[in-house]
Amino acid sequence: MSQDTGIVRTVVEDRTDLEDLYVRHLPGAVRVASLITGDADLAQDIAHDAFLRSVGRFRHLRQPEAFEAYLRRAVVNACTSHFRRRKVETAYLRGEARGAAPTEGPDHGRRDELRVALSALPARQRAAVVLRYYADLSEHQAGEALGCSEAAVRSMVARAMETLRERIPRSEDT
Amino acid sequence: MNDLERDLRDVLGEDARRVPTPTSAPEGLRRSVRRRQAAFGGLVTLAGVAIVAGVVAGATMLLPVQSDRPADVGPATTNGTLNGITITYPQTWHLIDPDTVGLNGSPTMGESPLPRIVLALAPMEAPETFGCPGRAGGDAAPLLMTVQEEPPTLGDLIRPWPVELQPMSVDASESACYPDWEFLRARWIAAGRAFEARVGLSPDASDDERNALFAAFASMTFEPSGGGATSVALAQGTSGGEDWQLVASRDKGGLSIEIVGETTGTGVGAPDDASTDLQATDAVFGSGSLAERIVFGVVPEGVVRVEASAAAGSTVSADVLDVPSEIAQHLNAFVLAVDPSGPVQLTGSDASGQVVATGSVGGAVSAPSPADAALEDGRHFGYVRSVDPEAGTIEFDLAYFLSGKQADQAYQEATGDTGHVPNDHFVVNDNPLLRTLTLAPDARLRLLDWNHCCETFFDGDLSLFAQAIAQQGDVTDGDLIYRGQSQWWITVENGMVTQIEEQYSP
Repeated sequence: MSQDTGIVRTVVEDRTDLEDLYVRHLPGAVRVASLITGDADLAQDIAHDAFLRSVGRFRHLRQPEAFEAYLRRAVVNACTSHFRRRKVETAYLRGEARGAAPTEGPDHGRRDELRVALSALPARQRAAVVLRYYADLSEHQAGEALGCSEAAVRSMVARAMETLRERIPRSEDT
Repeated sequence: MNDLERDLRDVLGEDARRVPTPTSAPEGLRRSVRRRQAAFGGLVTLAGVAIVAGVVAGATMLLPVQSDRPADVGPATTNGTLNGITITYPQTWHLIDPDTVGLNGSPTMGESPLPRIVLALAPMEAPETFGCPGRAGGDAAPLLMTVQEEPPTLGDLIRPWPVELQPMSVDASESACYPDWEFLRARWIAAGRAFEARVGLSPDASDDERNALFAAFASMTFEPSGGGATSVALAQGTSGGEDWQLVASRDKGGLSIEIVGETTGTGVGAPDDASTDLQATDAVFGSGSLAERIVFGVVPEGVVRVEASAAAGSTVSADVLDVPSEIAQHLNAFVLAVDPSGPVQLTGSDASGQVVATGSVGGAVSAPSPADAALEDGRHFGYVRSVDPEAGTIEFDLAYFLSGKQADQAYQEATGDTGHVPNDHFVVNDNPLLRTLTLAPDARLRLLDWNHCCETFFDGDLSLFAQAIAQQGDVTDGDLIYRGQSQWWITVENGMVTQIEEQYSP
C-alpha cells in the first residue's frame, strides 16, 4: 500500500499519478461492486463514482496509504446504499440482464444455484461474503470496509453461510 | 475449507473474471476530481443519484458518442402493442419488450411484479443502447423512452391520461451512460392502471426525432390489466417537506401497509387477515420545527372511520381507505397526520359510530412536558437536530439503536418481513419530541475520524459541528470532517450533556 503514498496527496496536480491510481485500483473496485450488486454496468458507475469521491475526499485525509481500504469502503457503502433504496427506486433503463452467465462444466447446476442464492442474500451479508471469500480480506479488514466490528463480520458471514447451506444441496462428488 | 466455501470462492472468482474493467483512466478524470473536490461538503449520495435513473450515477468515463445513424425519422409510422399499451411510432424505430432486453433486472433479484417496465421505444434495437448509450459508440440511441407500470393508485391521486411530459431535474453532465442528456417524465392513470414514462434525449437528438418521440408518447392507448393487483397506492401526500406514498401490498406474509418517502420508509404487517385489532405505526418526516408525523395502519373489516387522540389533546379523524379484496379480504387501512409529540390513542368506528377497534402508537413514550424534555443520566442514542454554541444547548431527537435479535424483532414488527434486519441494526424513532439539552461547559465532542475509518475519534469543535448540523452536510477543517447527517450517542450526567459521540452508519 505504501506505493500510494504521495500520489493522492498531489493527485490533482499530477495527472499521471491520478491515472495510475485509477488504473491500479479501479478494476478491483469494479469487480467487488459487481459481485455485490450482480450488475456490471452499475458496478462500473459505483466504482468510478467511489473513486472520484475517495480522491476528492482524500485531500482531507492524513493517511494516503489507506487509499485502497478507503476506496473499498466507499464501494461497499455505495453498493449497500443502492440496495437500501432499491425498493423505492424506479428501475429505469437498467441495462443488460443482470444474471451471471451459466458456467460450463459438470458442477454448473450447483454453482448456478449458488449464484441465485448469493444474489438473494441481504446486501450486507453478500458484501461480507464477497469481501471474505473473493477479496480474501481478514475479518478486521472486512469490518473496516463494512463499517462494523469483526464480530459483526463473523455474524454476517455465518448467517450468509447458513442461508446458503439451507438453499444449496451438498455436492455429491466431494 | 469445506465444499461450500470452495464453491463460493470458485463462483466469485469466475464471476469476477467476467466483469469488464477499465484498462485506462478516462479522459476528463482530472476535471471530475476537481469538480468533486470543489463540491466536497455538499456531495449528493450515490444512492440519491442512482434513484434518479438507476444509471445516471455520476460516472465520467466520457466515452465519445458518435453519430453514424440516419438523422431523418421519416414520415412513415407503424403501430405496436406491448403489455396492453398500443403506440404509434416511426417505422424506422423499435418497440422493445423490456423483459427480453433485461430492463426489469435479473429474475434472481426478486423483483416485485410492480413497478415493472412494460414498454421501451428507441431508434436502435440493440439492448446495450439502453443500458448505457454513452458506451455504445456509434450504435448509441439518441433518445429513449420507457414506460413503467406502477402499483395502481386509488382515487384521483394521479392525473388521468392524456398528460404531458415534464422536465426532470437530473444533472447528467458527469454521466458516463447519458452524458448531457435531458430527461423528461410523466405519470398518469389509464384503464385502471398507473404508469410513469421517462424519456431521455441526447444532445444529438434532432428536432424531428424529438417531435417524433413526443408524438409517439401522445399516441399511446391503454387496455386494462389482466392480472390482479399485488400492491396498490392508497394515498399520497407531503409532510415535513417530503413526498410520501402509502402502499398496501400482499405477499407471502399477508397484507403489509408501508409508507414510503424520499428518505425513509416504514410499515406495519398484518399476517392475520382476520385480525380484529387496529394495528398502527407512525413515521416522522422532516426535522426540527418542520417535523410532521403520520400515523397509519390496518383496521379490521367494518371499521369505516379512525380517530386519533394525541396526548396534547388534539383529535383528528379520517375515513378508512379501502384495500382491494385481492390484496386483503377483511382488512383496510387508514392514514392520519397527528400531533408530532407523544403517544396517540386510536379508535375505529363502524358505520353506526360504535367504537369497534382500538389501538395506540408511541405508547411507551409519555406526553411531552417540560419534565419529559430532560433525559435521565446515562448514554442515549439519537439525532442532534441543532446546536446553539452560544447558549450551550443542543436539540436532541431520542431514538433507539437496536442490534441482534432485538433489531430483527423490531424490523419484523415494523415491516412484516420475516427475515433478518438489513445491516444488522435497526433504529426505532417513534417519538418526534425534540429535547433541548444543556451542554456541560467541558462537554466533549467525539467525532469519527475518517482518516482512520472508522474506529477512532477526534475531539471536535462545537462551532464547526453546529455549522455542519445546520447545513445538514459535511464541513471540513483541514483533514477533519464534521458530518451534518449522522447519528450520535450522548452522555448525560447530572442533567447535562457531557459527551456527544458519533455513531458510524453505513
